[in-house]
Amino acid sequence: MDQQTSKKGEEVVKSQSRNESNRVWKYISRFSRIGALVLLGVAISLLNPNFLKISNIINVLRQAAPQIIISFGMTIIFLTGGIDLSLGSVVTLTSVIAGYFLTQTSLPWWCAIAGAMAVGALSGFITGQLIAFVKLPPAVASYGMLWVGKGIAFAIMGASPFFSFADQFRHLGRGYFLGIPMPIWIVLVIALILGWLLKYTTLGRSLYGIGANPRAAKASGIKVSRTLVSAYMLSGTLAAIGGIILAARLNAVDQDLGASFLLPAIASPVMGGTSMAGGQGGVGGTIIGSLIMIVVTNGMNLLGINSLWQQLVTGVVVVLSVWLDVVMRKRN
Amino acid sequence: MKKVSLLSIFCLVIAMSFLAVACQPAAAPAEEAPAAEEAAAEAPAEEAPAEEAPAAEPLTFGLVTKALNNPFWEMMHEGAVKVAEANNVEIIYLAPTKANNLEEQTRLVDDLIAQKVDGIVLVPVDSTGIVPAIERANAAGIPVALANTKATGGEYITFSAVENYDAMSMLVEEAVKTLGEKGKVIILEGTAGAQTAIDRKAGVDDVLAKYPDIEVLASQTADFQRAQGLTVMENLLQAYPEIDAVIACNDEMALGAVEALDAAGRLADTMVFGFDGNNDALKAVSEGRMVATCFQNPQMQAGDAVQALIDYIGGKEVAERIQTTAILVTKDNVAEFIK
Repeated sequence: MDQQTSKKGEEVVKSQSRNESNRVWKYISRFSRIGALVLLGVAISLLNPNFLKISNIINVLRQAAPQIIISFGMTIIFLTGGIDLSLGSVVTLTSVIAGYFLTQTSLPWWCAIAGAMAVGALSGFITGQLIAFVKLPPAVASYGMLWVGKGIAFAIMGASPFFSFADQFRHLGRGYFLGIPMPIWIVLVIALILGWLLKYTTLGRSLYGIGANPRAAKASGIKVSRTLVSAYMLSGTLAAIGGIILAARLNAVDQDLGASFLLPAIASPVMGGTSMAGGQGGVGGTIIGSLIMIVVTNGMNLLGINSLWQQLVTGVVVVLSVWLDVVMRKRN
Repeated sequence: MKKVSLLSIFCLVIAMSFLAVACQPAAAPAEEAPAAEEAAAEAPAEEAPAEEAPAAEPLTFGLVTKALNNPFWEMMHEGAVKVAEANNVEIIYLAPTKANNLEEQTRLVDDLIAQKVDGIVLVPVDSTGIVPAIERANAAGIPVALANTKATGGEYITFSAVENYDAMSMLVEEAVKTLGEKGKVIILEGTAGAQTAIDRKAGVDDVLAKYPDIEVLASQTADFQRAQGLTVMENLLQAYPEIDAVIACNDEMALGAVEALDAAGRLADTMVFGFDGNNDALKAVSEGRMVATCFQNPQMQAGDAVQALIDYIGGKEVAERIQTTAILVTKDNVAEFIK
């Protein structure tokens, strides 16, 4: 394209103006996801003014926190062109570990957090090793880890859930700092760290490089195996943080806690413009993607939509928002 | 003993998972394998299927519930084992690893048929969806006793359960009485479309219809899950500044609602009612965080079903419907139920 235009001088001007309009479109498409979220919000608030109350917005953000953090983990894996099916079960396992420390031992509460995060990182480490060195496809390696995590959680807990945790631990789920709930602060801090990591560090750039073109990445000197293992460790740790917030909010853990987060964690990054093929995307879009899903549930509860229709509505909104994204991208 | 079985479950699960990983196309069968292995390790029946002397052989029954993560099913398991042990019967306990998963439950029943157990105590995830599996058991000549949840077809020797509709009505009458026959109420429904959820919801609706001063603010599903109970209740708290009572169709959702109310500082203004009688909920009732729950007597439900199978195989008459007595649990009698 560029070569062609440079041959014919008169077309240069044209192509410049096209570039100009491309840039505008890029901007619009970038904000199309936020636009979708805003549109959804406006629609719900027209039907029920309670939606726009500050307390409800804070409520939505707090509810979204675990899903956003778990989806961050999936975003990182998507960037490398992989998928981590074990995230839901790692959420369960790590929250069970935290619950075990809190209710079955007399160790201080922060040990529960450290233990859960360590187990999350360890499970990511194993999945990463299976992918990077044993060369299993990511879906298979993480599917295996899904069952291992689930099995260990069962073995630790049996059928009766752990409940009633220490107040300091619960503070992470239901406490406030400067009038804003703790889970929101945690999301903010993690989002900033990840944003910086993806943009400004070698690790971050390597993640995009591997996803875009693994061979080229290797040729350019990126340590592919090491980067992959780091990515899975990171996603495992993020799943653990999500699990901790969930457990703290619920004041209990059960064996099905994490399973329902796997599919939203896959959908949120995609809705936020992260490509499952790798090399493209980021944490900002993932936040928007998660929020769209949480807002839909919140809206349906506020509007009192019949239970039988709720799943259908969620599905339609997910598909519509991804479709909108695809359309915007095609216009580029 | 417990340590050993924990360890063996752990090893089995790891082994199975690696097996699943090793042979890629085996993804689907691997899903059921850990569940089966786990449950087999749990039940004290390891040597049962291999035994061959038909005369002296003790009976082996399969027990299939809806999920592993709800303590309610574990109580059923206990009740079944208790009756079974007294009668020299072995119980193989299985449940879907993904809670309330019909497809997985169907495969578990097929496993039991393949193992040629002497009888199956079944708690269907879905009353209609489970029918083909029951018919396969019928075809194999294995008697089926249903507990807790009914099936719409197939042949079964008995159905042992609390009548969900009646028990829920009893609970709601208690709620109405505590409210003084007037107030603003929120209902948390079970999994959309599930038979238990439909029956309980009908019980709630029919009782509340008799009291015009009770206003139902909202009736929303929280999927029988605690985490959902929390978020749905948080959302409803935003819409309704004044809520006098929450009637949840199971304890898990009720406890989620309790957390939401507590975090919002509104637990003192709102009464929470649950259903099932889980340990966690009994504790909440004794501490005043919940007002009442309904003890479904899961031990008795499963125990009666096992007894019916034994009687049936022994050639005795078995009642078509065994009524389990549900008991209303309030602060006054909660002490009797807490272990």
